[in-house]
Amino acid sequence: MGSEFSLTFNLSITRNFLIELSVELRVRGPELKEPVLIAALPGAGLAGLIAVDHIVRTLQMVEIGFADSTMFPPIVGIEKGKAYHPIRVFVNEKEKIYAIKGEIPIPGMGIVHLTSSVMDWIDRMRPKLVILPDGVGVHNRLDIEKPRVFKAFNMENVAKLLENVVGEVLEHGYISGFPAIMLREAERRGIPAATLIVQCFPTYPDPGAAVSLLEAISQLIGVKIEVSTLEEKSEQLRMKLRELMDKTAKVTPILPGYVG
Amino acid sequence: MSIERIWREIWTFISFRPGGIEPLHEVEVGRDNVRITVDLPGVRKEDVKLEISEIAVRLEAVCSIAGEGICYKKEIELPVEVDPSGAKARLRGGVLEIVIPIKGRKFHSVKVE
Repeated sequence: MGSEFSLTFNLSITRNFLIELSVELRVRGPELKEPVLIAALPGAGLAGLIAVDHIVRTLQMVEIGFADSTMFPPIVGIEKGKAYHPIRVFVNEKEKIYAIKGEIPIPGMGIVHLTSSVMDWIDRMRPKLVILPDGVGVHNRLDIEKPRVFKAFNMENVAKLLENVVGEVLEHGYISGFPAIMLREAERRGIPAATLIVQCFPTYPDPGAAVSLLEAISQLIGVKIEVSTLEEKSEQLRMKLRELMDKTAKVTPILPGYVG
Repeated sequence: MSIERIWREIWTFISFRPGGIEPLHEVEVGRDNVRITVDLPGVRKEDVKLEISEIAVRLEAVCSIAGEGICYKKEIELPVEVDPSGAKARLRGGVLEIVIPIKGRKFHSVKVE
């Protein structure tokens, strides 16, 4: 069943001037029952973004929507001459998976409003699980062959799902950035959500860390995700993503991460 | 400064300067050392030319990625004076790490009477 969903969250403050803060999420596509949503924005090592990008490609997901806002930078992506929104929504109907892939760093308030719009949309379909892959920069990444994945969740039934997933449960501490706000909002609405955080280079694109994330995501959703093409193209990706990594570090100097 | 102008400045593309690609790098000043890392995808250690003075690090590296020749060039000014004779460098997975002792930070223990 096809449908169109469009939502705008508005906050206007009038003093001597008017600031309008809004995020519009426009989705034209199927409404799935109890889907899985996987979402990432640029963060430490771009690990979450690289993982979601790889899932979109390997599962041949179809683009069905985008998010836009006055708070987002005046930028469009270009692929083979065609412009596209840097924050896009994808679907794989067979596997009942939605993916949100953000290719621009978003400052704090933008993330809050983007989260509200995304949650209003996905909440209607009562998702089985929201997965939030991200990276945490570690000083000794150079000496780590296989980066470890850390897991956090908002409900006990999600903890059960995570039992058979590679990685360690975060015992205590704090998570910041997009996964934190999404987890908080999911908790408020009673939506099951988990974040998977991988050790990575803080400010260098890290496809190796994304491979560890993909292994965990694959186990969590029960869908095989082939990673050999990502490993083969690792150096090309690192070159291609240098600019985005540089901008991400400037726009969000406190990168999403974990403080234990 | 308007938000739009801030965005424009942040998103000014810097990598297409003539004379080589500027790699991403980080400088951390520790208690006794300065640690510099440089992201050099595709580079092997034998293809790195590294020079260190008391106030700066200069490097050049070449490699080929997917058949395309790449030349990295970077000069990094250091925030403190260092002792280049004590510098150590290693390359792992295309990331170069340089550790250089800070000048005048060699401590000798003194007995208190």
